[in-house]
Amino acid sequence: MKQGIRSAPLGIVCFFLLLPLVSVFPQGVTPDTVQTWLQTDPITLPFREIAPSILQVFDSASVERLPLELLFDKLKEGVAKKVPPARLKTVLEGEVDRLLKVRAILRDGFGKEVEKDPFFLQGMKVGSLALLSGFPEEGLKPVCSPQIGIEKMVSLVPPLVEMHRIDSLPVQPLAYFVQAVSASTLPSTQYGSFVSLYLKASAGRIPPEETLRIMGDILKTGGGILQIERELARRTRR
Amino acid sequence: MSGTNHMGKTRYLGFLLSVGFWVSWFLCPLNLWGDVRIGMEGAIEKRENGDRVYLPQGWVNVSVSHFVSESLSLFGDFSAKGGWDTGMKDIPYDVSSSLSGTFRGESFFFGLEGGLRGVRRYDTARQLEAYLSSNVSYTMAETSLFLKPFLQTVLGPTDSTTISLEPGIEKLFGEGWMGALSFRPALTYYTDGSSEVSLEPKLTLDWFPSVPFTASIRGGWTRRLLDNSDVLRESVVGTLEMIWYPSLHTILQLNATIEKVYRALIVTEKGLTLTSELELRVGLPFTKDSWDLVLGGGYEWRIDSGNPQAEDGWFVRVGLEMKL
Repeated sequence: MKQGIRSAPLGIVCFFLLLPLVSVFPQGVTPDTVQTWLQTDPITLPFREIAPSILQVFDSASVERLPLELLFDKLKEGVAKKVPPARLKTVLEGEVDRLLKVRAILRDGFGKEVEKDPFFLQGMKVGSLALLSGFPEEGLKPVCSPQIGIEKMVSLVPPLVEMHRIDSLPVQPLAYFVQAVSASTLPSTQYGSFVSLYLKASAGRIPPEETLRIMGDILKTGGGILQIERELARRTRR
Repeated sequence: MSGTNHMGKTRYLGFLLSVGFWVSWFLCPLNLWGDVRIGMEGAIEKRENGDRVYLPQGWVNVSVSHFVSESLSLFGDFSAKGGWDTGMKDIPYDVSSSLSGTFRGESFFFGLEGGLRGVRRYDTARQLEAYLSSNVSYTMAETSLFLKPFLQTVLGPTDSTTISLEPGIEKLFGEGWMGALSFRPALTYYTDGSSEVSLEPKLTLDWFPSVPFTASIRGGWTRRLLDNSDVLRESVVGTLEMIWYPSLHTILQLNATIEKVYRALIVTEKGLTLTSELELRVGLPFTKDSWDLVLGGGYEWRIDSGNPQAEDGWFVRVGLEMKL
């Protein structure tokens, strides 16, 4: 159990590094696909006894019109990690619960048409993982706004989750920062640097509210990573 | 006479620092955010002269910030650390207070900071420092030009005034890499009429990846000249700084410096010095991120031309810091 907790952050980092591979998720997964896999793949042998309850979770997710690809991915991950069969169903139900919450947030933020967006699956995946990592639902809402768009949201959420792990992100200043990011011309490839800049600020005892406000102000006035580093470095040298 | 002079300086220092504290304090209600931290620690230190000393100390840090607009921010900071040092007759302290402001536009940035610091340590007799530092920069896309004027007056065993101007260029490249090249000439006047010039070009490379880790490498060369153009000291310096977040609520910082003084007027100043410092900060569970356990250690190794025997020193410290 302890080992699992210790390896969780590493797993999260690995996931975000492997995120570009999300496009190769199996497409068009149905409960039948899952049933066939459970019956034929030798790796699923210890889980065959609970196969009906697993399929029940997939059926209910299918009724909710959730993308089963993500749930199937979770199932494969659980099987590969040899999660105790008795726990696997709970894990899958937790994933369904998170996916429902994330879809609701995405629909509220981007509109119902979001499900047709090519980035929808990735949006669901990063959103679910954010909630799993303890990122607050309230924090996810400001990131899902039409101004920012789902493509930018997919790039911004992983760094925000990492920042939240380092030091809890207060919701109000986070909303201000996200608004600033959405308005800025900063390329999404540079969002990752927010993590190490935030870490440097945190190590320099700058409170999270202040860090987010400084970063937000800089982005709002047209600045970028260079300016953020300069100003945070000035504050940490006090 | 000297004693009276010191008493006057101490009162002056106390007055200015208390002004800094109260200004910070009264700014609090105007502020969007304020941060107060108190802490205490116990340290064991083995000094280069072989003495082993104990340092129980405590500190308070007050930081306030006022964001007037997106373009203008004001900050006030007060910090005091003091306690006991079994290797000293007097009480050691390090008290500082500063006010700073930043003004930013799309490509223009101006920062100004003024501060005071009073310090007494085993290697520094009672000393008061006052400084004014600025940063003016202009950014074009991923390149920035900066100029850092700096003025400092030290009232202490040797009174001095230093003025410097550091122009430089910073550039962002690749994913999360940042390089800076700067040159810092400085002029120091002493009250006995003598003066000193120092020239310091340096190159810095920072890495800000998308994982919770950051590193900075700095290389520099320094030449210090007397007013008659004699070289007082010439050295090369390399510094490595790393910050890592290995697991929940844990921040690990490492600073290491290597300095080779290859030319010096005083022969014992020639030599090689290695300094390293490690700090581990762990958030205590069930304290809602408000208590940190601070573990630190450092090692210094030095060999100079006048002494074939290398000298070393180390310290270990354990502390607790609380965010109020």
